[in-house]
Amino acid sequence: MTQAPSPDNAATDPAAAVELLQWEQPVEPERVARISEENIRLRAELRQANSRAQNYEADARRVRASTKYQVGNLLVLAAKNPRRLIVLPRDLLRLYRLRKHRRTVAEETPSEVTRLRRSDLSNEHAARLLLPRMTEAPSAAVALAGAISTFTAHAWSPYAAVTSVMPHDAGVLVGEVDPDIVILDTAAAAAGEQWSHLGNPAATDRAFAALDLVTAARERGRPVVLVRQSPPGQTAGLAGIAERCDLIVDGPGAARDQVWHPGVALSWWSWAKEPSAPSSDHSTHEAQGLLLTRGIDVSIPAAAHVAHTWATTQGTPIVVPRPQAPGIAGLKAGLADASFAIDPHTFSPDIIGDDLALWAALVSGIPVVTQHGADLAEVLGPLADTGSGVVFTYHDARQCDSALTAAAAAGRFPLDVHWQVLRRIAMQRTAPVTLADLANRLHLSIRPQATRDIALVIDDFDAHDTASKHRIVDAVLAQQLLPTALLVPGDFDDRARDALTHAQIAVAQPAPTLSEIAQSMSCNWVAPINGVFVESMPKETLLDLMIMAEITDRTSAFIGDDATLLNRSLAVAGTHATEARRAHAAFPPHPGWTL
Amino acid sequence: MTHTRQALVYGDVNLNILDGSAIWVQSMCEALSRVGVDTRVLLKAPIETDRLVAPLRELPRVSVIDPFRLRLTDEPTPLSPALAVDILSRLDKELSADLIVVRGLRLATTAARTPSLSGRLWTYLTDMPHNVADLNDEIVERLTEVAAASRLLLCQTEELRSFLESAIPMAAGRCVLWSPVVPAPSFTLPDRSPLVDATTGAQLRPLQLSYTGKYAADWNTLEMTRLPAMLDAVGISAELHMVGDKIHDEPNLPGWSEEMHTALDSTPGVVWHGGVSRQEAMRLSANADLGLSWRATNMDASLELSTKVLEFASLGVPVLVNRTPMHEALFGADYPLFVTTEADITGLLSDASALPELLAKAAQQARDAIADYTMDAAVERMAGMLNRTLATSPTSHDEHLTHPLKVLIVSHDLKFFTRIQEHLAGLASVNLRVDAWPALAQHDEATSRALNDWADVVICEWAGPNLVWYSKNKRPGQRLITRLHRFELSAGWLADVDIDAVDQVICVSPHYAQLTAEQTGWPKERIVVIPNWVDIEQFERPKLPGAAFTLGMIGISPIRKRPDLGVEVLSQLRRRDSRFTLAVKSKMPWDYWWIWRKPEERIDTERLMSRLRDDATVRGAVSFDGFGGDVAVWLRRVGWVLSTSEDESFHLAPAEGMASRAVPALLPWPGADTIYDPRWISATAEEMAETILDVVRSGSWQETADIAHAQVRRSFPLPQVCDEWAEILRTDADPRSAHTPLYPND
Repeated sequence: MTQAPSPDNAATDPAAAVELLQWEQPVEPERVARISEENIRLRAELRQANSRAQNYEADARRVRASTKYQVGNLLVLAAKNPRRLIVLPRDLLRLYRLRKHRRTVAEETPSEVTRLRRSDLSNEHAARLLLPRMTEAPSAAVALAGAISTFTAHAWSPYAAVTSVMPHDAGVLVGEVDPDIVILDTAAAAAGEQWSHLGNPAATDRAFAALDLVTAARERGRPVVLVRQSPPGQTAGLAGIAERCDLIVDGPGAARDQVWHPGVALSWWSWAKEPSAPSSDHSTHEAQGLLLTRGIDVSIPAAAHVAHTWATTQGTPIVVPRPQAPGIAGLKAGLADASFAIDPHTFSPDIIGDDLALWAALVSGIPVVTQHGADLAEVLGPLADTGSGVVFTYHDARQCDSALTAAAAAGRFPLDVHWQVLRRIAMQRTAPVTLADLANRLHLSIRPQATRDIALVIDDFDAHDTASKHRIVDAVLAQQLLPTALLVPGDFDDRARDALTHAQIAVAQPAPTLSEIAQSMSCNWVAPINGVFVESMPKETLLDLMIMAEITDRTSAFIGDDATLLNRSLAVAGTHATEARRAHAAFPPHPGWTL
Repeated sequence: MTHTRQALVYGDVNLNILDGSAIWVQSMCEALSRVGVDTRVLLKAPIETDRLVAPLRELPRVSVIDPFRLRLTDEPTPLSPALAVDILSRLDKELSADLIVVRGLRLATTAARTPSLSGRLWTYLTDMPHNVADLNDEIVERLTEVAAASRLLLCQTEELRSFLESAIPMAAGRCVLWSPVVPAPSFTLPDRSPLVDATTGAQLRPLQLSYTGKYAADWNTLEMTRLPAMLDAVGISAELHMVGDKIHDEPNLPGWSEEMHTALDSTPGVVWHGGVSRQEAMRLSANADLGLSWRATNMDASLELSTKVLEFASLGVPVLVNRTPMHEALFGADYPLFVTTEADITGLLSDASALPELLAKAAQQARDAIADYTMDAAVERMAGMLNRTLATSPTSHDEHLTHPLKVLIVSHDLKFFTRIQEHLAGLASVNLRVDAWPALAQHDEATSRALNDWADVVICEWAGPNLVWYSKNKRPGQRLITRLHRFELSAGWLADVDIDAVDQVICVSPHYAQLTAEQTGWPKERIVVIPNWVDIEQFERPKLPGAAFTLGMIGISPIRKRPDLGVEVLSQLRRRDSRFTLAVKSKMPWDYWWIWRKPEERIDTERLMSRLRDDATVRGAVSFDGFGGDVAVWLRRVGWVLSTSEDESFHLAPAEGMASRAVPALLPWPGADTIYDPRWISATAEEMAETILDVVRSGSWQETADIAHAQVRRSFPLPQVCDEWAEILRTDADPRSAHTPLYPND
């Protein structure tokens, strides 16, 4: 080729265009590419360095403006120049007055604050307006913060200090609260929840916020737990964030991998109607409705349609949690009107099926119809067997129909069965237990179960009666819920003391008054019980007292006149058991004691 | 003379290998060809087999550029990205392509750094992270660079588009959907014999399962080979047909590939067809009762859609897939064949008598889903993208096609003018320049003089000191136009404007046009209305679950935007239905120093924040979702867009909401009823809450949102507004526009 082709032809003739190309000398494209790559890397590094420098400058400005720095500066100046010692008191006083004046002016006359100079403004300070008010929970044994669903937060809040952070305050709030554990609960990503759509690419901003949460936690050395309570497809978008968590656990609704249940709250006991009489006669239950714990989900029509058909045939009203009050409020209202419940969800066996609504039904004392008997049986044991009147399982439509009929006939649990269910749930499925499990998995030294620490105080007792003491020790060691401390006048022999030590029960002499006792102990609860009662008290006594307190969300509980459980704050205040008893009239019925 | 559009296409794919990327090149070229674009497609690798290139050559208007045969490269190896971009640049230099279509992040990065190509790239992004944790600074920088240089970013799925726009602010507004194209089968779909006896429910023949594609651990292909035995154990006779010959090495699973090979070769009930042509693969799939596209759950996070799933659907074969938000959006949440494990599959298929109905329902849903994935749909999409990006001059500009109109834009702030500017710059009849003032009243006079001497038409965006200067320096025969927004009316400089020199004063709403006339005394016939624009195509996206219960506010600063009233609406609603929440997309007042320095702003803000903390009806129900250009993505979660301001010149937020199929809810700020249909305007916050509650409770939210959407389509869509701007360069607008409501009046 000796002559360049005409550019005019190139516009319409590809061959001509290509011919023209061959005349042009190629620049070394590979070298250009390498240089460009290096360029991009250097620009990124420069930007990061600039960002760090800006942060350091801002920190330096804050430090220089702080009182600590200014006081220190004055002291250093005085040390360097003795003549400044003379004016040092004056300078310090001036500093104090200035600081006091600034605070006073801010508090008293906000409308008189003058227009600030641009350099005076602190976005970081102003942004704190977004932070919620912290609630005090001094008796809480563990602090949790994070993206937590309303259901989960409700299950934990009687037992722990729970802070649900929102996407816009996630990272900052972790610093403010300084929790023991940071939680990323995928149930908080459901529509209507505070982190709705987290994991969906259409809510990438929420993913960034979750990343901020994890980063803030790690910067403070706090462990992060991803609690998956959603099907795998809903949480896949969190894969990258999951890798940065310290622990991943799978709760109801998730694939059965690292199974862990968040726990339930006993305060979900429904009080919408009068407690039933303490007998096995359960024919007088008023509620007759069938509760659909999840309403109708278009993706799982089969069992729900069977339930609807059955209910229509039987003339049984269907109770569905009010959609206008989602979550626990609507469910509680629904539980009050139901005498049995069905979870119409159809999951594969590889999905954990025992959701919180099912447990809420059981806590409320109504039988459940479900495909997921195995998950319930882990906790309920023989109470989950057919015939116990607690759990009715099915595997197909025909069995579903039979199960519904049986559950309807059974109705609410007899009182003794209800308490058996409550005890099992309390010991295995409530937050003190489940959070303790979580702490173990994280190798943390916190004790969530400390919220149930009881100091058992034996009163009205002959300290010299050795045989009686042995009976007391045996009764205490037999308790399903062991006390943390046993306060008895007089000494124990070595055998008794060894047995108590082995059971990790501290032994101490009781102080003269309950108030002094409570002040001397760190336990959350004090249980003054008379010695004669203790000698023969049933093994469920302390547990039942605790259940009563948690069901009613109260600071005290009683079984007859013989056994009292008082929250530490009441005991410290010197509240007498009799006074406390008078103030709390309504208790859940108990099969063993007259209230 | 009509200009024939020119396109360059380079897919950075080896067209000797039949895979998804090769099909992408084919479908892209075919779509371009069918809309009348002359397309040159550059090959990456020397041709070894013609089976994919030959069909390209047969497409009208498509030319294949073989750089190896034409000796554009000395090496016989596939083109590197750098070399490919170099060749593209040289081709472009001669062809002056209207668009350059590229695929792949690596190639796109190189192309983005080539100044001559920047601004005309249509980039189809692959090989990018799909989750935020993998977005390091370097990736973000690279994607930002690519976005900035791209006219369009082609996204395979809505999920990818959402992620990209939220993660890379520069991408917002540039992302469009380019869905996979499923070619129609070239054969008649077979009739399958009955699977089950209609009377007895007994199986009459084995259930035919089909898989086509590669064999890899995450693709569950080894697990699939166990299905015939597992189904047999529950009483279902089944046969699995596996098509494909590529068995992956799995470095983390020693022995996996051997095990896979053995399973293919010798598992009872498994028929291995090996590698076959694409049409043969489709023919084999068409014979199946059920397709398999079930994968390991770690694949659920992918933002890309498997074309295999779409192929099965196009063949009338229902397919087993993982339940993911993407698949739910495609097939519907009630699609009956979502599975996670083998146990799910056997559980689903264990009742022979139920199979025909189950499979028929799934097949119908699958067929309904693929309407958007045909070539016809792709052609329509392509036509829309071309109209969007390549403006056509109006007929009134015909005389300027050979001598373009010299148009000068003068402003200190062009953020509300960008799309109009882009449109005008794209007109062949316009030569556009900008006199960018560094501040409202600051400019380089010498520059302004030079530009003024050059311009036929001057547009002063914001009627500020820029208008004062240009009105006093107008040249004879020149046309001077200004757009007045709002704050200018309270500024003192309008008195210094030589109004006799101004041909047109454009306001964005009839209310402000009338206000301008009243307050300035300027000639009414020169004060006209061209509304703000809404890019409806960008905003129309599927809503997320629960959107009907999500209120939205865009921009809450300064306090005259009255976010407190939005919170009051929320409070009223939540007392009756606690599903309602409020999402706020905005900077915060303290982010603007000129706002935060005012004590009244701080007091009102603190009061608002206190309410959010102390009022149980709204505590935890308001999210502040930040500020950014990804408004279209954000609106997917919003069902109601509130406008509670004391005063607005236009307030684009409700219009953007309407475009997204959210319902607007306004309080009666002055002029609101000249822009928006009064049906959307409530007298008080309480009334607004009642209206919202009524609509949601009556189940008519979707229908109401559709009405709103139809209105905004007719009121101020981007193309219409751009046309009006193009016309006003030559011709005065109708002064009656200052008194005509902007919403359709029927």
